[in-house]
Amino acid sequence: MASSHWRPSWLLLVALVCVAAIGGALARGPGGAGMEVVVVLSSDAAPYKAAEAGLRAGLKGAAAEVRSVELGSVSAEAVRELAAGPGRVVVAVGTDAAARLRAMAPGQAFLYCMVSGTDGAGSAGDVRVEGVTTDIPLAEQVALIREAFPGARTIGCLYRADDEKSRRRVDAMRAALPPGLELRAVDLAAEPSVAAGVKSLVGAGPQVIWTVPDGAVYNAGMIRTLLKESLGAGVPVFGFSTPVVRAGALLGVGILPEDQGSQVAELVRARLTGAWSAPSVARAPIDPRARIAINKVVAERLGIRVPRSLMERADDVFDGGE
Amino acid sequence: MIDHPVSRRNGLNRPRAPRTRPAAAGAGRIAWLLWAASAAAPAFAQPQDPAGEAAPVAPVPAALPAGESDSNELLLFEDIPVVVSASRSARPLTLTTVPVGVVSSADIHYSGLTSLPEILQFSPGFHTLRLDRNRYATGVRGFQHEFSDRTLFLIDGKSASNVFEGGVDFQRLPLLAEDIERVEIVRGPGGAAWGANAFNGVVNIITKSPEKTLGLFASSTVDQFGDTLSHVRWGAKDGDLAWRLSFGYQSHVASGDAVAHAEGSNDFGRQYIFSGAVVKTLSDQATLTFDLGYSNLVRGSEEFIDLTPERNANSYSVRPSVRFDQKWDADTSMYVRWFGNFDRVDRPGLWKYFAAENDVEAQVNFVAGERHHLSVGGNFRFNVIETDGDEPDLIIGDDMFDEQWAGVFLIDRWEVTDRFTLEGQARADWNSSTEADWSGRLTALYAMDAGKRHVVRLAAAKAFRAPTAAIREFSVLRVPLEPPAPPGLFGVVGLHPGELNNEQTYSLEAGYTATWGHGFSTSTTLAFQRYCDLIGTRIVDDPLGLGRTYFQLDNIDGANGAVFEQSATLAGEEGSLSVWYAYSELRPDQGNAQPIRALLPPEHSAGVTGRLFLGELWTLNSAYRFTGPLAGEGLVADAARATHRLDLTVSRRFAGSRGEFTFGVADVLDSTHDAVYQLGQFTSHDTPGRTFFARLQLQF
Repeated sequence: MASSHWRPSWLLLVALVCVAAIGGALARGPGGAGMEVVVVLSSDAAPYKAAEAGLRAGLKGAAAEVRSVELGSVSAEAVRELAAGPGRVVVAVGTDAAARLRAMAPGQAFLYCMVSGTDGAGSAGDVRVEGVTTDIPLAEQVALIREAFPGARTIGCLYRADDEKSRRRVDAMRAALPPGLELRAVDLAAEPSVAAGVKSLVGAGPQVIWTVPDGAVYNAGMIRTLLKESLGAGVPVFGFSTPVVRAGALLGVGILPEDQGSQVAELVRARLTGAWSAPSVARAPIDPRARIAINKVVAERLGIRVPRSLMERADDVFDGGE
Repeated sequence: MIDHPVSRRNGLNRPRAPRTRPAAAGAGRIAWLLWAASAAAPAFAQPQDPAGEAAPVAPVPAALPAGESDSNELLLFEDIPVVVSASRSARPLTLTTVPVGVVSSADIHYSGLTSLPEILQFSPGFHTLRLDRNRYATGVRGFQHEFSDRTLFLIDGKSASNVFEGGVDFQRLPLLAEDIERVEIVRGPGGAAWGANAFNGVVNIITKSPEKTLGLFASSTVDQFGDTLSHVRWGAKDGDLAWRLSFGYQSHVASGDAVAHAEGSNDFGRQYIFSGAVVKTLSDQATLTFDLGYSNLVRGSEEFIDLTPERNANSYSVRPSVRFDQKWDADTSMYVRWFGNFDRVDRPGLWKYFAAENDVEAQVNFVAGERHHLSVGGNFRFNVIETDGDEPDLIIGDDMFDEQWAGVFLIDRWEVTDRFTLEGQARADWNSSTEADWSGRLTALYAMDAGKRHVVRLAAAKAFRAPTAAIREFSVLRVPLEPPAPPGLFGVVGLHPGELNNEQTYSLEAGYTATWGHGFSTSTTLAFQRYCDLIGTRIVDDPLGLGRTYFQLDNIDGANGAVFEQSATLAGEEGSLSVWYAYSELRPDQGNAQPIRALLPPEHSAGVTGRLFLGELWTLNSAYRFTGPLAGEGLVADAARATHRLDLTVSRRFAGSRGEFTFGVADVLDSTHDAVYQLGQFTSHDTPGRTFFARLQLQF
């Protein structure tokens, strides 16, 4: 008698498993079963986590499981395994993660976001690697500077001659300037102190000071010194991030880590469909979505009237009301 | 009242870390800052950046070693403490249309003082004369009087002047010194921008927003006479709701218990204070603010026209308000507010009344075209004043007054060119009990440089002061005559006034304000003012020919005034130094000050304020003011002497800046103040001068 009870139960169980499998396959949608997105974070810093959140939000509804690991918590072997796994899309968040993936798993395809510099942490030229950079195009920055300060003829900046990347940034900015606009760069390495370097920069007489996210030159204290000195001398600063504008730069551009995540999510989706194939020529990093920030208090303090057209396009306006 | 750009409650409301100070290495660079010889509040002192850090003098570090991470993306999101804050001024002081002095929260904090008139006296143009330990004669550019109604007092833009008496009784205000963000002192007619009756100046006390007072705070001050001020405050934020609740108790002994030659004085005081504010953020662009202030003051009665009551004076004040703010973009905003001032005052020998003031106001700010910044608004106020005249000695009889005010205003700030700005202000007011009137100001600002650091100002203005209910209903019978005089006769008779006109003032002003860079700024003002229809006492002939004093309040006199004010301020990381000088002349047409209910300003006054930060823990502060002789022609006694006031404090932080101990001495140079008389006083007494005090503050 027991066997007669079991047989229908077994049939029911098999039927349920089949239904679950079919349903799961349908739920995953195109791309097939077993697709996984592995997010490799450079560290547990909040901006990286925010980029991951943007990526997850951008992948909602996609047929893939998303998991994340922090670089510091996995071994090199585990990284190689992650990168090489079939049915897997790997996303590096941050320059460190991208550089380590490239070093530990050469030849493997991956995506990246929140990477500073336009060489994709050394992946330039690799057709299997694509991503979103944090660097806002210099042409865009120059256009904003010219719109806000139409009478400016000289732009000042700080750099380090003993740092190759710092030198390259200055050279790139020089090349991006139109005729009639000159870049006056002060080498911090040649100055006796940070304060002296800032004084030299301000004393060089620029009409606006351009800043760039260069860790070899800037830190929070250094930025404050520059902002105070320039405010005291009446020279506006073009800030490389929204916090710098909030702190006292008159105008600047910034990015949101969530936007970086959602931008790379679009690349992930393309790879999840299985329709992606490596191009013949490596693609340049995708430009980030830039946000314009303006500090009205600084503008009033310096007696500079920001064009209305710029004010209307600004994403963040600081007027002391926050 | 109007949400003037200078006094908008702005500012970055992020909680700030305890302030750190640079090493003493920088102190040598300001050897010129002679702390021991300094005094007086700054005219344009730039408040210290609470999160100030020194410029690093360390050598430039080498570039990162090879192999180390050189990723820069985290730099994009690193929070950087703000260098410039709009809480200092939404509009640079170089671009204001009137001369404005700012007393910052740092000035108030490091002074160690608890009395607002004593704090403000170090500001150029503001005059304080202590009458006794409870009462002050205050005024801007002269017109000092206990019931001074020629200066408009505001708290966060809401009227703080008493609706019945006209002036402000500072002791009755539900306000604690450490809750004040700053005080703006506008010198000159400010009627159009600040409201009706901003006759000769405006004092706007701006309180700290709840987000700037997070945590628990406790403060206790005690002086050598046993006077105390205790203040406990709790501020918190939960989601979109932020609040501040302050409780305070202040007491001081009578002069007779403090100094010699003051026996019989009764000028003690005890005050209980509650002050609360709640801000609800409705969205990124809209907020709702609730305020409530309560004060109960008991103090000794004082003599007035030869009568010293036996009963003490008692008053209660309740001040609620609700305000809705909406901002659409950086240039477009509006607010709507209701506030009420409810006072019950029992001042034996003078008056006993209940006054209820309800005000509804609104303002819209927007830009028309590219260069016109407009503000439009108005208010309606309904006052009910009920006097209780059942005591025969009261000067106002038993009566009830209803009064309605309505006002509309328009301000247009026109940026004609990048350097030239014209600002026109016009305001019309109607009062049910007096005449309708108008006030206005036209200012031309010209920046001599592209950076607008050097600005020249030319202005013309007109303002008025409507007579208050107390003036309109004033009458008094004092000093009953003894036989053989017939019974029922009095030696001093104040007749009920007839129809009174509004007082008027017209001014022509020129100014130059400069920001020289590196914390140095200067300001120069020259002004001429004409006053008409000033209300004062007119001596009338005794109808019985007995030689009694018969008088009546009436529009009796005009006056001409001239002012020259010069100030300079230097502020840096290690400290600040401010110096000012003022020349003032106020000449009534008939030559005698007292009949116009005010003292003349001192011809010469000057001040110096210095603050020095020594390392991270110590702060030295001093304030000095010189006040020249006050003219009064016989009705003012020893107050006519020139005075020097020097205050010194030293503060030390401890427990990671959670605590601070302050030791100070007020009025170092004068051990006792001589008796002061003003119109209506037949007796007076000495008051304490030099006062040693100590204060302990804790913050969590």
